[in-house]
Amino acid sequence: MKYNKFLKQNWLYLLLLIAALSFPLVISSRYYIQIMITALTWAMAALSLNLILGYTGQASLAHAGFFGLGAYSLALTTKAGLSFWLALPLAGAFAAFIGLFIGLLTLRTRGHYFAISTLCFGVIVFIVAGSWIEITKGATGILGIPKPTPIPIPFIGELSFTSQTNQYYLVIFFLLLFLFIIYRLVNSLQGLSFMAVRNNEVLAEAVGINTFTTKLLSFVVTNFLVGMTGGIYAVLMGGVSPTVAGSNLTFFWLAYVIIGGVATMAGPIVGAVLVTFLMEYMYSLGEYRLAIFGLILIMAIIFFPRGLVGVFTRLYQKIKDYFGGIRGGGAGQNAAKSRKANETL
Amino acid sequence: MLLKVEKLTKHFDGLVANNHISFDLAEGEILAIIGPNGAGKSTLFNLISGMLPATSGKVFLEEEDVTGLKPHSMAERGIARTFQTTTLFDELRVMDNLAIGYRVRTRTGFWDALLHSSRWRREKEETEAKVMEALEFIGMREYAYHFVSTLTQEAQKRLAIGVALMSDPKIMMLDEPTAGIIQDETDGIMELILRLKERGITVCLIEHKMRMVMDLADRIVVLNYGEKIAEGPPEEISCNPAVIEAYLGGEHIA
Ligand SMILES: Nc1ncnc2c1ncn2[C@@H]1O[C@H](COP(=O)(O)OP(=O)(O)O)[C@@H](O)[C@H]1O
Ligand SMILES: [Mg+2]
Repeated sequence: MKYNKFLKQNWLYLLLLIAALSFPLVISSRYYIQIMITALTWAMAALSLNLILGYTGQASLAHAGFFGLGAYSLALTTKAGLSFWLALPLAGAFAAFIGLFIGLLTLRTRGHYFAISTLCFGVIVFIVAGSWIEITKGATGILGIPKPTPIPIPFIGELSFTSQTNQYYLVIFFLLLFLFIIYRLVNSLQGLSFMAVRNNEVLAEAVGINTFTTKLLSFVVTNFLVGMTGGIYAVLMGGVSPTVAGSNLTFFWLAYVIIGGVATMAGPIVGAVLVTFLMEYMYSLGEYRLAIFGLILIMAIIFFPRGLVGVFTRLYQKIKDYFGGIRGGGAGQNAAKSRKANETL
Repeated sequence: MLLKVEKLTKHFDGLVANNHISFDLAEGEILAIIGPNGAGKSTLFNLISGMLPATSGKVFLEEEDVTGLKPHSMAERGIARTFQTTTLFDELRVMDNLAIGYRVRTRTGFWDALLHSSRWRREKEETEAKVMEALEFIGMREYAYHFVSTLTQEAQKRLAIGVALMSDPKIMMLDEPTAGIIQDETDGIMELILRLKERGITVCLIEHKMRMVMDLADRIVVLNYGEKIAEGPPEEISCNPAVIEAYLGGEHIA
């Protein structure tokens, strides 16, 4: 009975999980798998952006800057001989550590001022990556990052990451890990503090929430996650160059979050996968793609302020309410309950 | 003395919004602060609760100097407040608003949330119980899942008091808790304030409705143009010439 209920409530997620896991087995095209790997990497970056932007209400435009810090950190440490499995959390920790200082400075400002000051930091990272030649190798970047260290498995051999399929599963693993972390964080009293700050900082402070440390925590966790994402990106690409810290990346991720659904769990992933494939599909249009992309973004902001996930949730709700109404009795109560359940989508 | 306000002064550019305001708040009493619009009542609340820095003067809570502390520290020390324009987390549900009000008494952090530690579980259950109790107290049990924006003005006022109540404050400062609601509903809020007092909470109240002030208050402080012009029990205030003068042309004092 219990499993039945679990299935009934989570069938959609299970379906998506099965689809994600079987993707490289069903799709044989290396081309599509590669796009999917990229899309899911961007989804990870969008997920962490959603934590500070969507759930905490602070528009950090330094996201690519921290992505870059993580990417360069991983490039340098793995090339110096460190195992990928140590270098990756180190990349996250490095981004989080720098983020702590940047947060101490910038989180004293609010609204647009926070956006602008973080944008400045992002630009600084980009410039440093391009000009600190001794460390970063300038515009050429650092090449020849070794593939993730194989994981030994007793009796069977080892799990290596040279094949595209295994790289895909590596990305899926971290995507799920990030989802888990953000889900747990958001659905806790700590997450409630984030949302209190987003909704009304003055009131949050008045009821006893230290809004500054709350924002700082969200910012540090965000930067840890995006630093790791930068590390994963670097290892999959086998190299880094200053473009990994370019602020146009930040704006793309921002768009994924908005199109998918701000402050929803699935939104950043939906946005990243959909837009990445759409852009790829329109490859022949060249620069015009960006115009179409801009148009989609504007439409989303005007017509679907809660993104595609918001639209889907509302549709699903309507259908459910409709059938609840037909069955009669307690439809309203059911609606309230299922609305609660859908909140976390 | 529970709270001691000493010569609080606030200048906004040229304007003196509060000028050397002193008064005491005794444990368990209801103190009303009255005065015409623009007298500086809300500013006084903002100074005490730490939302604005005072130009000069001091605030003592149980003999401890708490001048200049941040609002969240004041809340933690037991001074809760509401705002003149009803202020709630309007994107969230009633129950979440209340839960946030209790947040200052919980310590669940990143690792607790991530690992579902014993503290995470304990505080989650504790918060849920507190929310249920508060819903009961403010008479809004059936509204737990409602969004704030769907509530009536009166229900929002109740909820704002409920949110402030969640932290188990020693002092509750209510800035015009009945502003913008009709007379019939005022009685409900009044009764709620009396029940706060029964709970042992000291209440400091800004209010315009004179009948309500006269019925509720143990003592009254009167402000006019940033100055304290009178202080005393209701019957004394209602026949104080300076007070009547200040209200001339304004509201009639019962
Ligand atoms: N943040 C502020 N900046 C400038 N002037 C203010 C500010 N807050 C209040 N004032 C001014 O201070 C005076 C007192 O305001 P307030 O304390 O809100 O009065 P009351 O609550 O008694 O109606 C008014 O003249 C008001 O315009
Ligand atoms: Mg006022």
